[in-house]
Amino acid sequence: MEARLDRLGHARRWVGRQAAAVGFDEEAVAAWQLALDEALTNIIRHAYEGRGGPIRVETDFDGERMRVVVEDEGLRFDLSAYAPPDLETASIGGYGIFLMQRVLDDVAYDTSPPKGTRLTLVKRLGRSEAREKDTS
Amino acid sequence: MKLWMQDEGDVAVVGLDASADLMADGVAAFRAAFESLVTERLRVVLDLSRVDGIDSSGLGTLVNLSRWVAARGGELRLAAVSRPVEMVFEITRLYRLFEIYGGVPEAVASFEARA
Repeated sequence: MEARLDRLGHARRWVGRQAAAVGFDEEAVAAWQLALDEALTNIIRHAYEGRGGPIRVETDFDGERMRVVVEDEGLRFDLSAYAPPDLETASIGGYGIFLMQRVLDDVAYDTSPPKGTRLTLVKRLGRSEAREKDTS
Repeated sequence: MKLWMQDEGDVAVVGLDASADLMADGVAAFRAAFESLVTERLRVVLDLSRVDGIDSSGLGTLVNLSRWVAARGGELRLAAVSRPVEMVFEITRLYRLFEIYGGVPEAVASFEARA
């Protein structure tokens, strides 16, 4: 996909369909949509600084967890420079990565590719979701 | 993104025409529509019942709009928050920056109670 804010709605609907298809419930589908939205917004605004560029998004499911891999060719993300927001003082910024980490089980940044960053997002099916899937 | 505004006494109630996400791709249009409708109003209730989801950009926009109203001596209160939006408020604990009511009538009444 192209790194543009006007592509975000399409990306949210796409990941929502993927998550629903493998059995995530409504709240988990919303979590996936939020997480991918934050990941892509960071790439559009920071990795490509609003100038656009390619983003590759892939998903797979192993029966227990869905994984979404997001790759860009923009400026590399420096995780060491990231500080989570201070919830005690109700700080206003810095919630994007924090939200991804809170609604998913794993968020991993890999800057070893020759260009850009590979971000891997993982969420497991909940017990009730897995049970429903087994009996369906 | 289209918004409507309705007067309930001296309280301005603002909401979305159609269901939408308040996320990075829509916040600029939302903010422009809100500011053009609300202009000088001091008591404002934002009906969030048709906001399906919110991200960090949407949260930041609500905080900025609240400050924009407050800068004139007014107050923005929120009503009818959907579950996905409530989840984000809870995770970030930014609900502490707003007065949030279950429904629009309660939010409007909260202004009148302190009139």
